[in-house]
Amino acid sequence: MKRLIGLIVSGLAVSGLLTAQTLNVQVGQVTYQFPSAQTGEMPYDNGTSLTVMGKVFALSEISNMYVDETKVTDNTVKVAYNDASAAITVAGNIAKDLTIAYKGAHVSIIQSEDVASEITYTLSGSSSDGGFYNEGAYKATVELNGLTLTNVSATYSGAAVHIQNSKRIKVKPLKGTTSTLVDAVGGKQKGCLYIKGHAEFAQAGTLNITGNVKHGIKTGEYFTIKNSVINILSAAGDGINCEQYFLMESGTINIANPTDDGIQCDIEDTEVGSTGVTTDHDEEDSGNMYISGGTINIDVTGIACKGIKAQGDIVISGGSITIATSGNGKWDTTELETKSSSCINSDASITISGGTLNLTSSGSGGKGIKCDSVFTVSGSPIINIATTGGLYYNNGTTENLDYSGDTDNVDSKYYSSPKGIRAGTKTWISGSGRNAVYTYAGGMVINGGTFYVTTEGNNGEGIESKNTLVINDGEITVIAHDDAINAGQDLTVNGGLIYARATNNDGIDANGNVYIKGGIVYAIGSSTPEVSIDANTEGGKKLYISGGTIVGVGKLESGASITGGTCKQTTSWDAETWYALYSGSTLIFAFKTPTKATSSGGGFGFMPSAGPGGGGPGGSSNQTLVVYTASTPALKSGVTASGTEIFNGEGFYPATVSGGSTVSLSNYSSSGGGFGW
Amino acid sequence: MRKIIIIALLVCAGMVQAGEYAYLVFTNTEGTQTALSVTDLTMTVNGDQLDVTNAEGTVNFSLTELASMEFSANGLTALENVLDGDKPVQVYSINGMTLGSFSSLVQAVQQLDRGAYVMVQNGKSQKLVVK
Repeated sequence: MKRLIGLIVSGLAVSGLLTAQTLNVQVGQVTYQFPSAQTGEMPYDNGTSLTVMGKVFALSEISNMYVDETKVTDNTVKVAYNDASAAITVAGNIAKDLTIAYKGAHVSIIQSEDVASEITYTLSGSSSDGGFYNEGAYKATVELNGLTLTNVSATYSGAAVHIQNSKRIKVKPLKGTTSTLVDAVGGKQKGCLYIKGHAEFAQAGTLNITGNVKHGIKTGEYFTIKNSVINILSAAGDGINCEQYFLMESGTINIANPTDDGIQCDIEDTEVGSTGVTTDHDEEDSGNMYISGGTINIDVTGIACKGIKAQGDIVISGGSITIATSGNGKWDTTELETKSSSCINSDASITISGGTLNLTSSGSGGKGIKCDSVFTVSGSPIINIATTGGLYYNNGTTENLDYSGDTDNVDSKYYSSPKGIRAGTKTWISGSGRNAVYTYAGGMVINGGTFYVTTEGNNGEGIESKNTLVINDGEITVIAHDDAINAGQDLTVNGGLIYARATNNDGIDANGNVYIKGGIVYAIGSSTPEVSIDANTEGGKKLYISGGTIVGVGKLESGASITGGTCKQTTSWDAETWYALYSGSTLIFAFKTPTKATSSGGGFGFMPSAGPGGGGPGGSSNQTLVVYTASTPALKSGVTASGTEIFNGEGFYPATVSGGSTVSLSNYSSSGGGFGW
Repeated sequence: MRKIIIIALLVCAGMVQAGEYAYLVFTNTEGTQTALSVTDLTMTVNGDQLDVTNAEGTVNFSLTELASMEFSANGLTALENVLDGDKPVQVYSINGMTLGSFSSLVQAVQQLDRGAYVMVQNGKSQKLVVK
């Protein structure tokens, strides 16, 4: 460098500050910021235009130019809303790549296909009639920095924020900020926040959404969330609707007042179908939902609406999920069958290995969990489900929200039963009534978890597999209006702690064989002829007991095969009394008998908060108390029990007991059992 | 011969809030350059003129005669800076009268009165305005 330059620079350095200059070019509401180090030569062309870093400005459109010391971050765009206008600031290096238009506070920014670096759009400020529309073909980030944006006039889109970009879009509600978006009532947008591509929500800010036309948030591809808090205040469609897959690792999603489902995930390309799970979910189009952490609160009121709905699998490995549905069932005029609400619903399988689920469904026909394929639970999730709605009936012309008729000879498409958990499918092939022939698919496998399931309405089975049901472990407490635990095919218990109490049917019922091979099973049927454990003897099936421990209030299915232990009975037992069950001299567990009723049915405790003693009628005074243990069973009545509480306070295992009196037991005859239905 | 006009030189250096690029150099279609301090610099398109105002005043450029502008650290754009500040120069008035020799360009700028001069160094010449 020539010495003169050095001399001048040294002279200028007297002022001491070495800061970069920025050329600001203002064009209306847009300010382009060009760092001095990047501009190079900026040619003027015949008095008509100025070109800066490839961006050609018509001189006639330039409002002002000035130099300041603003620090410019490459690849950034800032939109600051201020009521009826928006100030748009563009980093110089991308100025040539953006086509910007605006009308008041409605801003449209279209990226050219030449963009090869990710652009970050930071939106802030407030407008009572504004919007942000963005098109592009390269991934981008949208930062929400305390943005309050209500779209009224649907200028470029009716969405408050509309990203017409099929690539990955990061959405960052900035930490410590709250942004609120409301879309235009008169628009045609698919969501208040619409992203054509895949959306990745991150950062611990809060985003409030009101979707006036369709969904609250709609993404054309996958949706992931970490840390962010999303509040869907209302939506004319789903709270959140996405395609490909949904993945939540942390953060919070609160959804209230959606007209349709809370969260729905669809397969994007239904013609090609699901890709299934792929490595790191790359290019995955499965319709699957993955929840490994965070908090979800959903309150759904719509007719036959779902809290969480997936066309593919639902995999829950963590998090806290609270869902309430209150909508009744409906007659689907397309499929010509009834549909009902459910808190969690999958057209495929549901796998739960962690987390806490509190699910309530109060509408007629409402269910806690429903999946059409396999329902699998393992690990230590806590699953609390309560359905309080009645049996939904609708034949296309007549609707009954609390149908009390016998549905045995009613086509299943005309009614929807309120159930705690329903898995698998049963498809009619031929015949009718008890001669009908069906095919079965899916099923249920429970390897762990703590369940507390209650139902109140007619036909309200607690846990039902339309196909096989296998219980290997877990603590399962069910108090149901109909069968507490039911399988359309074989039902097998290999282990676990099971409390199955029906107020109007069998404690445990299978239309196939029932195999009890292990675990502790406390089954309570309602009054005769319902039994504690029922297999489909009429269909040539059988109850096989070969292990475990059983307490049955109500006889076992007649003709049961009992091996591997001894079965005893008594008809003399006291209601609401603590008993201790021994196998030989070994205390197995302590249990509390149910309330005796003069007739079957009645209410019962609701959620776990009901605590011990929260149960109600279930056992009937005319029922036999049956016990089965590996060795000769012995029973003490009126014990004082303590230990590890199970069955929502109706038992202790392991237990410590004192006091009590020995109960006289007689041998149980399998031929003397009952016939449940 | 390239022509360079330096309006803001050492004499006003203390007034400039210095930076990496303290000057914006305007070049017209004839190659004449005008370096303006960027301190408080604003530019407004005013009909067929570009009005440039900084802390030292306002300069008007004809837009049709304006070829380009460029940030500069020293008021000289890199290509046109042909003089060495430490080497001797001969100084002439604009109309060609010899005004004297100086041991360095820096010394000449410091000692000359305000005005426009032609500096010759090693067979190369530049037009400078000392302000």
